[in-house]
Amino acid sequence: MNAIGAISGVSGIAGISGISGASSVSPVSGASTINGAGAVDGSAAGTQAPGDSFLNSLNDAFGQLNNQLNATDASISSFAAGGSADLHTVMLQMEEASVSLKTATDVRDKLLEAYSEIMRTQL
Amino acid sequence: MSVFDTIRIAASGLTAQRLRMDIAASNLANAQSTRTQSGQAGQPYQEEAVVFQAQQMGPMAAAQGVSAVAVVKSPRPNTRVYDPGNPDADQDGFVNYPNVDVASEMADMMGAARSYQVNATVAQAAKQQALDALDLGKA
Repeated sequence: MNAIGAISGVSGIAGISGISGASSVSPVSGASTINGAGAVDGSAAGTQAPGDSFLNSLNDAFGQLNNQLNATDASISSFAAGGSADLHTVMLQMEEASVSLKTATDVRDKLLEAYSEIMRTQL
Repeated sequence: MSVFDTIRIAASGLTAQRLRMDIAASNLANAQSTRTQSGQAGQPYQEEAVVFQAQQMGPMAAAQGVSAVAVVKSPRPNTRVYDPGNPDADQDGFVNYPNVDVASEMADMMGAARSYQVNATVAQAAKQQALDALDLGKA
């Protein structure tokens, strides 16, 4: 039951899927979405301490991803504006961001998969 | 050790080789420059070389990237050519040409290009490794 409680708290993470929209490296409005994930922390806090720490680290990871996407955005803009950044620096930063994004979406897929698996349980 | 540390080490190598390439280009472009940037006659361009130093990039001391710490002038003497008609000739009619060895600069340029390729391949392999790790999660 505890496990189900912890996982149901995860359902709020679906809100984070908004981040996948940032893959186009458009103006990242995802920051507010990620802050919204803080609410997930709060709701899970009452259920279970381990789940809480997991969600905290997940939240941190998404925050880091957002920072990375923002930094990539900034360096692409500066490169396009004729800045002194090296081409490979920009490219590698983009690759790092894309690997991070892929990790984030894979984690999200796994979580949603686990959630829907639990929801299918016949009581 | 994050997979990004590998990429950053490779990136430091790419940056270093870009600088080496820049310096080689500068040396080759100025192989006949009889004046330095200050425009003083009789003081030709001096061949330059980059000094690289290993530098810790991530949390692990053994995994080191590279950074260029200095650009030094070559101590090789200038080439003196007898050409009294040249405006930069001295009283004896000799012109001081730069100490640039074009053949060795060409070799250095090719070395820089190849090293750049090597580091790019490392970055690609590190990225592929990360993607392979992500594929472990696939059913």
